[in-house]
Amino acid sequence: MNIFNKVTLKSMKKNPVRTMVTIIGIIISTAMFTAVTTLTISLYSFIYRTEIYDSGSWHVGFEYKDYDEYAGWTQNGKAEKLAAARVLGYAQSGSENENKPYIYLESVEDNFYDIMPVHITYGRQPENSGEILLPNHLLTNGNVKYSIGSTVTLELGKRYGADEDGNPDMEYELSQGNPFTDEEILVPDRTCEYTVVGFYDRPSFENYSAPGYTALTCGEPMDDETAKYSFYVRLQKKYLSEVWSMGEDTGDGGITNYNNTVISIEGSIMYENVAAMFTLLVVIFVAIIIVASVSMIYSAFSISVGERTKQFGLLSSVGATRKQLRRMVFGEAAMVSLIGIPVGVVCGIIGIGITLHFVGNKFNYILTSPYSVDLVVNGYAILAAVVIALITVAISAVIPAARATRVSAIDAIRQHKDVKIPRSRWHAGRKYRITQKLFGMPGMLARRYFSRSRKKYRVTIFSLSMSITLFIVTSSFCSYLKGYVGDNISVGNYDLRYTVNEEDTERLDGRLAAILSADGVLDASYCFWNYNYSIISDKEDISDSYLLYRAETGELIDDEDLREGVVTYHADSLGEFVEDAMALFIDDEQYGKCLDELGITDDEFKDYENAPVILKNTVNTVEYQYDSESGKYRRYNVNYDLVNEDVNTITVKCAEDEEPVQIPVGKIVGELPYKFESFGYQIVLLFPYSSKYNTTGLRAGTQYFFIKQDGDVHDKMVAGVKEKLTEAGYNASNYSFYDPYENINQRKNLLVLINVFSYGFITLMALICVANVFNTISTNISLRRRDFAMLRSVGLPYSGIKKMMVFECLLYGIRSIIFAAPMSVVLSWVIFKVYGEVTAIRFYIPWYAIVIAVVGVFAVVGVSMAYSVSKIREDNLIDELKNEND
Amino acid sequence: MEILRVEDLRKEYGRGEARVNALDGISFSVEKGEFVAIIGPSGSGKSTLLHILGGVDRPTSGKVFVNGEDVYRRNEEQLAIFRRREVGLIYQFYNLIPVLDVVENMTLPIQMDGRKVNEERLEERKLSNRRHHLPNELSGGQQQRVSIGRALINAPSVMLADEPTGNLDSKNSQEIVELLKMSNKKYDQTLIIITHDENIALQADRIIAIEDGKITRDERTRN
Repeated sequence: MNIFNKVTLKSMKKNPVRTMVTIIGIIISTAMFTAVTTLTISLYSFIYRTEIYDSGSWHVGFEYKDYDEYAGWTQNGKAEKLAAARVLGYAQSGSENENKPYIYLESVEDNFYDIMPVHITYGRQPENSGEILLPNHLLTNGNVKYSIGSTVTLELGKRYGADEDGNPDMEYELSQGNPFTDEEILVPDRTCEYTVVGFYDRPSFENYSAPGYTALTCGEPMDDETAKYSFYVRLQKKYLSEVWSMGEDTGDGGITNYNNTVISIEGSIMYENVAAMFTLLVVIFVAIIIVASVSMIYSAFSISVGERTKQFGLLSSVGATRKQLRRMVFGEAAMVSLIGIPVGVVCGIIGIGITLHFVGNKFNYILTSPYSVDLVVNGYAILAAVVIALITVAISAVIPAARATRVSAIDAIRQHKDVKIPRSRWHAGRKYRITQKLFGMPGMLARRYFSRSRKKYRVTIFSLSMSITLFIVTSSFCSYLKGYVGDNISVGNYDLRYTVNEEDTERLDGRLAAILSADGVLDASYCFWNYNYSIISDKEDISDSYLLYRAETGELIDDEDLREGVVTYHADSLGEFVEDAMALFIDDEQYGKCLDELGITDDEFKDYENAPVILKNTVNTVEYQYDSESGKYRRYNVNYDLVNEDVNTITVKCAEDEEPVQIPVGKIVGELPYKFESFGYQIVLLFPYSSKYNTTGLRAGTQYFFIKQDGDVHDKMVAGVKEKLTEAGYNASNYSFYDPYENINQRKNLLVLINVFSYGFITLMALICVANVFNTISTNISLRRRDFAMLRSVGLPYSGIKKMMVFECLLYGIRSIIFAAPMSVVLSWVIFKVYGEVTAIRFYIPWYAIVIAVVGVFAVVGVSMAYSVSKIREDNLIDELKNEND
Repeated sequence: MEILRVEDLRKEYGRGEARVNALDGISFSVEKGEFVAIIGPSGSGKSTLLHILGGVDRPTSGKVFVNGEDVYRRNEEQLAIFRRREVGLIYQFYNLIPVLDVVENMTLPIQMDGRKVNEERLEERKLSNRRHHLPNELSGGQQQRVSIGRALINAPSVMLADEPTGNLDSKNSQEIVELLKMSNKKYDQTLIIITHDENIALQADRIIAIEDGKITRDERTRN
């Protein structure tokens, strides 16, 4: 070790606390860099594994190809793995899905399962040519029931397009790439029997528009030159770049597929969406960490240089060159890095490993996957973190190093003689009256120290402000993120929704009965709604609150227009108002309950067919309107009644081109008595299902069943409902259900994730900031040891020094907050601009973070001062006064 | 043989009305092996002169030649090497590096050059059992001896001492002066010393008196 590094090392050892704090700072920042890069790689690997699970690890797939092409690929040496399937043809399946009438049977070899996403949910894979593996959606989507061991008889054949005479056109063979049409003809040529041995998840290699459910068997010869083949190729790495051209020179017919995501991940071309999301987040976080780390490590080095000004001057006077002095500072950087960075890497990996261990399975909201995010330790990720950390340390050392070389020998030698005081700043006679009144002589002394060495204080205040700003900005960034996810969590009024396309009231009632008979169901109802209705009202019938609402949104020109009755809304010059409304038809039984709830006993309501409308007249909601001019969202509180309470009849248009009809109003309510949905954002016309207004012609579309559960029995209830529906002979496929709980759980998971990561991040940031503040303040004080000793020697009591410290604490705290608070509000606002507006979140000043930061600053400054001053108390006055060399 | 020549040396501090001429046209030359004492009241500019001779402070105008070479035509880098090899500076307050021990402090200029320390030369310094003490474990006299050791370690052509005994009692002072005189005689090293102590000044070959940045007297002593 050369003499300079020896000097540096010894100086560092002389100041173990500061050295340790600096090292800890580097450890934390390196750990955070490592965590960010490792997390990125872990997420990336999670996405990759999920993608492989979903779509398989093949790169290019050829379906429905001739034997020659298949044979060519088995021999051309480009494939690392090749999964081949011989097409056995189509057979009628008996599916209820009109667009998917067939079973599409393929015979596969064992290696097919290696690179294709075949996930057997029940049973096993076929072992001979008499066994068959069926896809689950044959049941869930096509409602065709088989169980393990049952026999499937298939009349297998080929599909052809029809010629002009309606006969099959043998030149026009159809594959899975051709969706089902009514003109096509299936020509069976043989009948085969298979035993069902298992079921597997709907395969992703089957197109959504494909006409056949893909079933798999095995054991058919793979060298029949007359057969068609589908084969999927995982290319050797060196051929991956040519992948896009591989579909070009293939023969006629069939389809070529590319496994885009897997290709782009393996070809290390980032998947666009993922890349954008990752890059932005990684860049933001790394940038924030760099700023915090640089401000902390920078001040550590600049303190160290400041402390050693004399040392540098002395070395310079005995012949050290600038280069050598600069190297000394970088030498210190290297030494702290040597310890801090490796420890930081290890801590980062352990930290993120533990985090992922606990929350790794909560990423399903972002990407539905059978996997959880597991820790992946990757050399490049660590290297990247180390390089970023080294750069951070180097950046931090540049300015102090430059300052070290500027130390002139002569100043260093003279240092003990006098302190230079810039005239303009310093007025010897200044009394600081208020300070003196509040803090007495010690306060005035502190004030003078402050004015005397503004530069030193500036560094401290700068790093304090930096820390506060970072803390507040990070908190507000995280709270926006949370706000976005959190705001959207709402539990609906129902626990399960079931949708059907059914117009037959009897069958609807049948389904309702089945649902109600299931365990755990508290209540259920079905309904139909139509959004296309509108209510046309005369000006006299319109309520004032509605007029006010329209005036606010700018659709009424001004008050004068209102008085004149010239109303522009919907350009209706007759003074009529047209407002959208929704017609809601609920099952008769539920309607009866609603009447009870409203206390209606009139007989006119009991005649369901002719019952008058129950009008939900109040709208109470929040609207965001996008203003294209300013490109911003505007938020409106919308709260109005549409018509006056004394209205007896309303004019309703059922659709744009329908003639308006007069409907008697039976009851005007503010809120729907219907308990399953509130439709608060809409005017609602409520009718019983048997109402004469519920005409079949207008009722085309989806009918909704809402189900409420009885207590905490969600899973049981869902299973029960499905079971009862199936028993009663109704379709109960997964696609017909919407389960709000699943959504809520996923959102809750996401919220947990955001909480864990944001609080972790904020805590670590805060630690860096604390280290920074501690370093600056304790050094500042220990630099003044001699001054304190001198003050004490002339009779200033220890309590006086304490008073000085309290005063300085206030100076630091208040000044840094004055800088930091506006800065962080501005930065938070910038973040809101970039991020918040898109999601229509309102800007708010992050008060709680500001409060925490303010309290925190005074606490940290106070503790640092108390610690440093307590060290001074132990000093021997004479030693300090005598100690010329320090 | 002339080892050091100073030509019309000027040094100004401050601007306008506050301007101070610390050195106001100083010229003299020193022969190799000469022992020169510079005397003068506080603020006369003698320390400034010494610092300029030693290459730590730059003159406003004028020239300094050491071994026939113009010192201030060098750039910062070369000037640092000059300080390291050509001159030895000794200060009133020793200016040792507090974190380095005696041997390390003494051999600093050698180590800066990246050279190996010659143990024999160290032995000559009679360091006894204090080799590995830190500066603050030593007395003033001892510290000054270390700083002289450091100045001598590279056998510089010129030794410059700024009130080397200013902080010491008379016994220690005399010892330090003896040490300096010894190296002056034994190695034929040129020695320029600033002092307030008339006794020390009288031991020199030549006394230069400075007042208000000008040489007021330059005479040989009788010894």
